[in-house]
Amino acid sequence: MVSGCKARWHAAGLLISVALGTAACGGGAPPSERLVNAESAIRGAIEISANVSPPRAALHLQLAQEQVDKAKRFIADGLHQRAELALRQAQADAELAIALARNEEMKKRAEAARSKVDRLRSGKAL
Amino acid sequence: MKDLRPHVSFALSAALLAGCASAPPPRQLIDARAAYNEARLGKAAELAPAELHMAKMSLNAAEQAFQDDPESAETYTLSYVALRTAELVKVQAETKAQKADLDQAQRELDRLEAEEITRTRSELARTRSELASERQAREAAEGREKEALQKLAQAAALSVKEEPRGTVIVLPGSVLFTSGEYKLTAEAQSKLGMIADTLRPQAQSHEIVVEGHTDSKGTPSSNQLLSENRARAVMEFLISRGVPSTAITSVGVGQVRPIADNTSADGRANNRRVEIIIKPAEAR
Repeated sequence: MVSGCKARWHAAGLLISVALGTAACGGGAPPSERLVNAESAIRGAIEISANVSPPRAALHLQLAQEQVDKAKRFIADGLHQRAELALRQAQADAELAIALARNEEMKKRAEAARSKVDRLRSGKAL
Repeated sequence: MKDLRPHVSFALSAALLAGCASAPPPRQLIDARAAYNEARLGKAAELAPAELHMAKMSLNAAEQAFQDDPESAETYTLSYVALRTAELVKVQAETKAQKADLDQAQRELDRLEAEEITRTRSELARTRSELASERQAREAAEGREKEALQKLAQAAALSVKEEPRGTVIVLPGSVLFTSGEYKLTAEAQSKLGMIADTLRPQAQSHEIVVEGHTDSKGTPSSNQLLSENRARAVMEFLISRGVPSTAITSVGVGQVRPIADNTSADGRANNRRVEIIIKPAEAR
C-alpha cells in the first residue's frame, strides 16, 4: 500500500498536494455497502430475536452492534480500511446471531411436534 | 477422543504453518481452526456440506493473511470472521438436524391422525349398522305383537285400542263378572286365557297394567274397592296362565274415569270394565 502510494506520487509529479495524497491513502472510498449490509443483518437478527432469543444470539448481536458503531467512528475519521474490517466482523456476528435464533426456533417447533406425537401415542395406548 | 487422527494431522499442519510464520497465531485463528475442525467432524459434513465449504474458504483466507503478515489487523479480522463462520456452520447443521426431526414428527402426526380418522369412521359405521339392525329387530317384534293383538281382538271379540299410554284391551264388566262380585265367569276365563297366550311373549319387553273401573252407582269407596278387587282378580288369573308376575300390576280406579254417560243403563254398562294396558317398550 505504501509503495503503491509512492508510485502514484511519482506519476502525478509535484502538482499533487500532500494533503490530497494522504486522504487517498487513508483506505479508499468509505465502505458504504458493507455498512448497509451489516446494519441490515443486525435488523434481521433483532427481528428474529423478538420471538426467540437464546443468550448466545443476544451476545453476538451486541458484538455486531458494537463493531458497527466502531466502524461509523472510523468512517467519520476517514479510516476507511479499519472501518471495513470492523464491518466484516459485525457482519459475521450478526449472521451468527440470526442462525442461533433460527436454530432455537426450530428446536422449539421440533420439541412441540415430538411431545404432541408422544401425547397422541400415550392417549392411544389407554 | 474417538477421532484423534484428524486432530493430530490438523495440529501438525497448524504447526507447520506456524513454523513458517514468524509470530504465533492470534487466539482467534487458533479458535477458528478448532471450531472448523469440530464442525468438520460433526453433523455439518453430512447436513451442511456447502456451508462447511464456506467455512473452509474463510479459514484459508485467515491462514493466508497470517502467512502474509501475522500481526496485521486484517489477519485478526479474517481469523475472527473464520471463527464466527465455523460456529455458524455448526449451528446451521444443528438447525437442519432439528428440521429433520420436526419433519419426521410431522409425518408421524399425519399418520396417527389418518389412523384416528379411519378408526373413528369404522366405529361410526359399525354403530350405525348396529343401530339399524336393532331398529329393524324392534320394528319386526312390534309388528308381530300388533298382529297378535289384532288376531286376539278378532278371535275374542274384544276392543283393542292404540293410545298414548300403550295398547289397551277393554273387557266389558258384564262379560267378566256377575254384578257386584269379582269372581270371574267361565266366559271370562276363556277370553282371559286367550289374552294370556298373547301377553306372555310381550311381557318380556312390555310392562302390563290391569285397571279396574266401575259406574257411578253405589258409594265411591265401595266402587274403589270393587274395582281394585276386579283388577286384581284379572291380574292373578293372567299370572296363573303364565304371564310373569314381575311384568304385571293391577290398580283400582273406581268410578272416576267413565268412558260413557252414567245416567243411561247402556252408558253404565260401558263404564263397568277392566282395561289391560300394554305399555310401550320405551316406558320400561
